[in-house]
Amino acid sequence: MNTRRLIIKAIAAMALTGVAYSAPAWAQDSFPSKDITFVVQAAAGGASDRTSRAIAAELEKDLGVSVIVENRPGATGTVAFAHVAEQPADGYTIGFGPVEFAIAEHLGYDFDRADYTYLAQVMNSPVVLAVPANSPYNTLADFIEAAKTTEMSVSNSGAASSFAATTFTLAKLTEAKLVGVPFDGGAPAVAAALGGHVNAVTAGAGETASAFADGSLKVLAIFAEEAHPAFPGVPTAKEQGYDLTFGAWGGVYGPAGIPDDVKAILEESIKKAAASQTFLDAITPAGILPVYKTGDEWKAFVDAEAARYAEVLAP
Amino acid sequence: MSALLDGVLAVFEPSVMLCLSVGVVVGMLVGMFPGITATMAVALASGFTMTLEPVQGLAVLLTIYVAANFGDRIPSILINTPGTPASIATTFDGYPMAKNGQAGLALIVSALVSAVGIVASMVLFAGAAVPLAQLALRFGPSEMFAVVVLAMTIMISISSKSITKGLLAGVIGLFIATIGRDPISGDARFTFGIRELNGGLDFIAVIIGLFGIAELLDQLLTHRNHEVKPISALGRWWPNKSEYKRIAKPTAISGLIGLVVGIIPGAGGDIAGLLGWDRAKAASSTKATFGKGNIEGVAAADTASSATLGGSLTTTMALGIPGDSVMAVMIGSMIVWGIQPGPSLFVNEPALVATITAIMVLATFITLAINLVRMPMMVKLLDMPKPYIWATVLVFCIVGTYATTNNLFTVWVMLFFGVVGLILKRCGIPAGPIVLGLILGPLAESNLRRSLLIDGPTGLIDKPISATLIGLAIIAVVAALGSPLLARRKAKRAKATLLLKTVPYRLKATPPFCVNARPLAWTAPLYLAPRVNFPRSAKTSARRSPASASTFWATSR
Amino acid sequence: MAELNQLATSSSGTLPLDETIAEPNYSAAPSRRLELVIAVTALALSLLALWLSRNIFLRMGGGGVDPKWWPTLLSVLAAGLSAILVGMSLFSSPMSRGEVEATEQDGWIRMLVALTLSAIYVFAWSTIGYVIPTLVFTAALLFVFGLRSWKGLVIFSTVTTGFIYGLFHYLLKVPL
Repeated sequence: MNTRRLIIKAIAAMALTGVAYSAPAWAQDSFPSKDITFVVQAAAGGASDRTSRAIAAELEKDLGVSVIVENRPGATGTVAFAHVAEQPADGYTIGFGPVEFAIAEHLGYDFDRADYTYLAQVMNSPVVLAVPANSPYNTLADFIEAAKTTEMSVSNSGAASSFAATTFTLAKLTEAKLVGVPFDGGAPAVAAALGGHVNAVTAGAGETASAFADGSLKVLAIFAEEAHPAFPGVPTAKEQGYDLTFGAWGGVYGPAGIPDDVKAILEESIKKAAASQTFLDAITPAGILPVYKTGDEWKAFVDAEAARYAEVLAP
Repeated sequence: MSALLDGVLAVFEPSVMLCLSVGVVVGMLVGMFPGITATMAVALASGFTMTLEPVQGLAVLLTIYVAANFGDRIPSILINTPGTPASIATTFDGYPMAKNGQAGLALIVSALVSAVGIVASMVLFAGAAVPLAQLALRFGPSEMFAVVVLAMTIMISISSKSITKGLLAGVIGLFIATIGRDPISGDARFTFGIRELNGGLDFIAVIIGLFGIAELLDQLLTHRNHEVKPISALGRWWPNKSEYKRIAKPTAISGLIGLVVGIIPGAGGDIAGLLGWDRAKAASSTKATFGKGNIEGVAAADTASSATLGGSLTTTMALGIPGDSVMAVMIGSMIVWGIQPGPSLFVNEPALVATITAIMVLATFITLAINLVRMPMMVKLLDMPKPYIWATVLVFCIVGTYATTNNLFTVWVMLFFGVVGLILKRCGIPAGPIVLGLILGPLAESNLRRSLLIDGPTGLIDKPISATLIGLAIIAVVAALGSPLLARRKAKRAKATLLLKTVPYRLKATPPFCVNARPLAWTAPLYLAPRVNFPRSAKTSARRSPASASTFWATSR
Repeated sequence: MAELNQLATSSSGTLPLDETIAEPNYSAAPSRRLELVIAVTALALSLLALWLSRNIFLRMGGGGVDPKWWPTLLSVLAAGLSAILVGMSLFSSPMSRGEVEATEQDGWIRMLVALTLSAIYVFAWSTIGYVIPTLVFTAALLFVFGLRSWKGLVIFSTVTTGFIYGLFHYLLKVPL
């Protein structure tokens, strides 16, 4: 492992010197002067990819250079995170940082939150709990009360996701017998609930929205501060007496040590992008909410989330 | 009715036709390029189709989906490298056919049955999507586990020579699939501290290595300079009447399988192709030559995997649950366009359903036409001197694999499995079961454990679908293991009679290692025919791999 | 390849039986020793896999159908099948290797050089980018595979590199 790191670092250093020789002197003081790479931790096509491409397109307009989106899927995103951490901290390599930033370290992944510069949070996809249409439960309290006597299976999108954590925390808090059943992605988890194979599902707003609209799923609660526009009339968990918020949030980050002036330019540009109509058009139909936090606010939030997940995921 | 007609006519707008042709070109290219899948192409294309009108955008994306399904068969047949995982089973008979000088025939048959598969599945989509989709919902974890168990029985039939080695290969595949994070608890398994291994080995890299690179390395290892003969000069392009007749049955059987598998979410063209090939083999009267260049095998594999297209479109549009990975991407795009897939779509927007059907069918016919016209050119490529072919295959495989993750680690994985594949090939351990294990392993383990979490141990047998499927699996195993034993006993008797009649020929033509008498029984007509006018190849293959002679016998008449 | 070409030459016409016998047999010879080596290696690897499976570290503790269970089952199965192979290699006549062709001495060199070049190429790519290594790699491969015309080397590698670059960069927008 160490030798591999060393080799990668050596190669990076070589590439860096190459860049230093070839870049003209004035490039130092006017950021950006060349293409920016935006690393996405998931394969093309998913929610992270969609959000990232929308942001990248807006950055491109604002900064006047190409922003190339690079998909580096693998290992819950840690492959991409590590790649970004190893790049020079000049602002030319940035990436999409999902909720795994707060989770990965608790699962034995080689990941350190301190290796990154936090630029801005841009979105949040709140977790919802839903039951099949023919289920007898109509409120979260009904469901939890029933689960205190009979065991209830709750599907989610995967082991150690924020969705699995929701079920786990809810069970711990209320002493209800909830069994989390991890699936390979949000859609199969929702399908299992639609088919009546599980008693309930915790999933993202986007994955449940169409089934909710059709009436084939009843959404019992949203684990967010506020009600969600895609689920009119559905109360938050807090309103029902369970003060819990969970979500698949995401933001933009870079390697640790990006100079303050470059950071300021990027932050400003990302803020504009996150407020743009194109960005909203790309994410809101998928049930994702635009949530903006500055880099420092987001960093504090990530640390708080990590502390919370540490409790949930600790052995 | 007029809404439906409008929906269909919407496709014939010039702008939509333009989008369609873009889709055909992109789809064929990405399909043929090993490594780049339709999913990737559709995902990347969805970036610039977002601003288009829904019908135009659907035309681009759906056409890529269709065209890639045609394109990926071409490298499977010509260079033993599946263009996408859906065409894995095509390599089983397609590549041997190419080696027998029937590349043209294989390509044409493959294109024809792919079209049949897609169109048949689209008819079902247009007519019965909503009730079919409800069927899909009945497949929960225990049902999925039962499907996987049934699919695992294929391992026996794709183990080419030795069942023991084939099963061992299957177990190797299942084991390799456990590398990475555990699907239920998230614990790391066999990652040895390597970060990239946490996500498991990249499936596409492994299949390109095991099929494409291993075959290339084997050719490099065994090629003899003095034998250079053109391939395209030989063989017919179009199937003759008897061949049409032969492919009718496998097409029907595997088409049905493809339709069903397509509807089950999470099971796609790769599994369908393998299952279709297996069932067609079981039903065929020329079983013994499956895997050695049997045209029925190509027809079966390609019909089955193509027929999943309509099936996965069904679950996607009628439930809002993606039927495969391409559809997962497509749902994202459709939501942006304001199309909300779900049962109500069929009630509220029949015109859109008609449009989608029309795009799929039209794209199929256009791609088929291009395929049929351009096939000779494709096969001509194989006439290039070997250095060009080898270099191109190696470069394309490396670049294509890199593109799947943008990480060179994936390329190392591919090269590693190329070498592993070569070693296994030379040890007589087939690659087919390994790949089957890789596909089925994660599905088997995770669905079994999910089912145990939900219902406990009884969940598997007290549900009608899973109980039936597991029963079928048991029957399949008994039949598959039993029949060779039975055949061997029968053949022993046959061999004794044959020996008497064919002594003069046997002395000259049969090798000493032709001990397994079953293939010999197949070649019986060769030996007993009066005034034997052997094609030389029939003789050589009879000498080397006795069973393949009968294919030749059957097709060269 | 031999098989291909033997088949290829022959379907153009029918030839008398005797000629086929004169042709050299290019298939690999069956060998008991090889089968035994395969079987024993497989057995050793399965036991290694079993040991590794039992030593998977579980964060939450195990028991029942835990993450160790499935790999353990598989390695036991593999060990069983390998043991059968060992038995078969010792007691039954070695299986024909008719479908595998014999290796050529040139072939070994050709294959090993191609693999080494690929490894160097992958390294070079990660260091100095896509274009130059791909040009050199393609040309070098062609040379190793026996192409000696300079025109061919230059034109073919340029076209291949350019085609791939165009496809990825402009059509798919994937950075190489």
